[in-house]
Amino acid sequence: MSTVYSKEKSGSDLKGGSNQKAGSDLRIEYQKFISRKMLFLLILILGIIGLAGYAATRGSADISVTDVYATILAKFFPGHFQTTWFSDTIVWGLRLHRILLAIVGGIGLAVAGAVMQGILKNPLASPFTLGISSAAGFGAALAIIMGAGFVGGEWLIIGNAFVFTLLASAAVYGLAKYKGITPETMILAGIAIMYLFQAMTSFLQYVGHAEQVQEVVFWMMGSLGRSSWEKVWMVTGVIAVCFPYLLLKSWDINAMGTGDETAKSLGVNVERTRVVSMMLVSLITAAVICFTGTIGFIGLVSPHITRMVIGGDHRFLLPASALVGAMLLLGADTLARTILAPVILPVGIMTAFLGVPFFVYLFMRRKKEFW
Amino acid sequence: MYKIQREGFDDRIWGIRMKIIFGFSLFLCIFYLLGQAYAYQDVSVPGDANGDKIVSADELSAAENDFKDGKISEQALESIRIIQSSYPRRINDSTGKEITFYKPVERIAVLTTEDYEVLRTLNSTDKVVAAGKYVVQSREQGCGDLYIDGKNLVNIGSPTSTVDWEALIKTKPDLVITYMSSPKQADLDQNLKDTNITVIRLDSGNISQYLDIVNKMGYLLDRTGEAETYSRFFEEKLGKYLDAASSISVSDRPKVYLEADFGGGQTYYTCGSGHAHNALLTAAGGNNVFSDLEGFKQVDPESVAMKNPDVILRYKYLKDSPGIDKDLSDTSALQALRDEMLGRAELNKTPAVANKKVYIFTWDCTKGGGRFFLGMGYLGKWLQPEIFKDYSPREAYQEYLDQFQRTKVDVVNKGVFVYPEA
Repeated sequence: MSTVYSKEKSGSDLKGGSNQKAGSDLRIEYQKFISRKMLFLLILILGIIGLAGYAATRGSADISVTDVYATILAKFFPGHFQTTWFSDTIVWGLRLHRILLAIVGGIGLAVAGAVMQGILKNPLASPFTLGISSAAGFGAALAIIMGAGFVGGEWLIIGNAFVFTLLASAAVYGLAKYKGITPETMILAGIAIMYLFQAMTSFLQYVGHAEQVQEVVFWMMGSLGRSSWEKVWMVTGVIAVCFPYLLLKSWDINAMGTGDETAKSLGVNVERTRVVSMMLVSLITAAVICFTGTIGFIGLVSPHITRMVIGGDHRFLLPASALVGAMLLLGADTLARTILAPVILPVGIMTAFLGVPFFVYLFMRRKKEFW
Repeated sequence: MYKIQREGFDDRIWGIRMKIIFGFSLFLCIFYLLGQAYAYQDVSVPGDANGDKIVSADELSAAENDFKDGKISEQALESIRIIQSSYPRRINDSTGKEITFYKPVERIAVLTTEDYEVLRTLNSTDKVVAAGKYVVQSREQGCGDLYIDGKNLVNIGSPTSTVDWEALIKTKPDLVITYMSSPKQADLDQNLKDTNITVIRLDSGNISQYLDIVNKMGYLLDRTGEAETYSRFFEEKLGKYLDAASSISVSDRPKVYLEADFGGGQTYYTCGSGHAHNALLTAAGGNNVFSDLEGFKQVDPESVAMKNPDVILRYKYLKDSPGIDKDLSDTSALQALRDEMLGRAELNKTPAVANKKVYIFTWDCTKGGGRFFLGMGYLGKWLQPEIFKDYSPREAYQEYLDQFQRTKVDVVNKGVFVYPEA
């Protein structure tokens, strides 16, 4: 974060260097500009905390709000709060890791989308339009259909999905490298890979047993119902490792937005940034969707929603999209598991129901083009 | 000069065009008439002269005259006599649709294993010309030798995923038997629209319909004797236990949570009312804790804990392991599923987990006759042990297979269907 700040400072120095008076005016305006974005981030963080706090109290088990918080706090201050075995199991064993997976999963998918849209300069780029999710689906289908009959094979499915996701991004990179890495070739390569993996999954489903096909469908259906603490830690770990680098590179991504030539003249190693960022976001996407299945939409739309509110500066766009993604996914999942309780709706339905109207609202309100 | 030439040229072109149009129309007409003739041939009922598909007394005497004049064979006359005396026959399929048969069914395509078993019970497999892939590829599809007698039938695919329509039409069946809702009616209409194939949908997986289906099909295929024998066998083997279980009031039934595990790491999917598995567990004397839900739904784990089930049933499909033909001790796969269920912290305090009343049952228990003699039997032994104490699922199933299916599959000393064994 400190590096970002120093870059920000040098940026403002650059802008305000010529005239002292105009410079200080500009600096004040810039500060205002920045503080607006900071405020947005703050609101999002508070919103997520509030939503998580609300979500933790919702569920079929009749546990009162005070009991829920006592149970949560008892973990941190043992001896000070009374809790029961039942509420401990429900809150810690069922609700909290699901809430956290929604938050980190939303962060991961939204960051992946924001970075892909940034480095490829294309508003339609997302983990799903670039073939990454269809690769995960294929990996899972392969494990399910070819490794039929295995038990406790959940990790085999997850591992396979993960490996194929990375293979897909390597293939996208390989194809693009062969033809020279421009955003267009990368997107074309991604779309080609997506079709290939979809076809291969369809083929597997064709040869597979009806019930295996059903298992593939079930796996691919986005859901947070498979969450557990260990999965939360794994996703968090991957994001914690990858996100700082992406944040460091946000200035470079900004520069790349003005065109590869301009970015190069500013000293940005365009190809390396594009490749490394692409690899990191693939890793993040893989880590998320191998546990949740296909949750589309978040990666595509969270960056757009954020861009409409605070603009396209990736130093803010990345963390803010991450938080918007977290909020969308958490909100959708909370709604999905409470609206028709005890029935749990597939979360993908809810993300679209929640996100699309909001997206359209922002879209209609915006007078000028945002992209 | 140029103009005259041009007109001549235009005339020639016009002439060629007319010839093409005329030729093409003729071609179409011939094909249309051929098609009509072919279609007519298909619907036609032997001995029916006026095209109403029904052979009247007058039409029969006309046929008798034809026979005297040597125009038709004795065999043909005999079949006309049968049609005159006992057709049309009407049956309602399981969707309630009335279906009329104007002549005896000679060629059957059966898409489901359940109905293939019904046809075997009725001693009518000689009429089957095509079957679904689970019958034709019995071993490859994880059914062991259960349907091995059908291995030479034409494979018409799977009703739930892809039906091979061309193969189906090519075998020229009079009758296609399939599930209640698959393939979709629109697909059937689309693919069979120019044929005269009759389709009936049977709900043979439903215990409340099964005997009725056997009787209806017995009537249709002139196998009422076989149908009666089966009904008596069923009543004696299993029916009396089920009757006893059905008389138990809801309050005296154990509360059951049924988890249908279709894999993909998704848990807490359950079957509400209207689902075949709900019907199974209710008929076996259980009280589904989610009977207020409709169909197949994912539920909140917390709600299962709150419902406090007395018994937990987990249905799992596993293709090869375990299943028919497996060694009796080959239970590790099912054991792992049970242990996972017993280890779920949120269910720890439910009577089901506390008393270890958690049972796993597999696909083999839910298809064909296995669904009733094995599946219902085991459910009965778990849910109403008092009533079912003399019942032996494996022995009853073996008797059914030996007596009505004429297969050489050993289900007493082999095969893993449930865990733990009741």
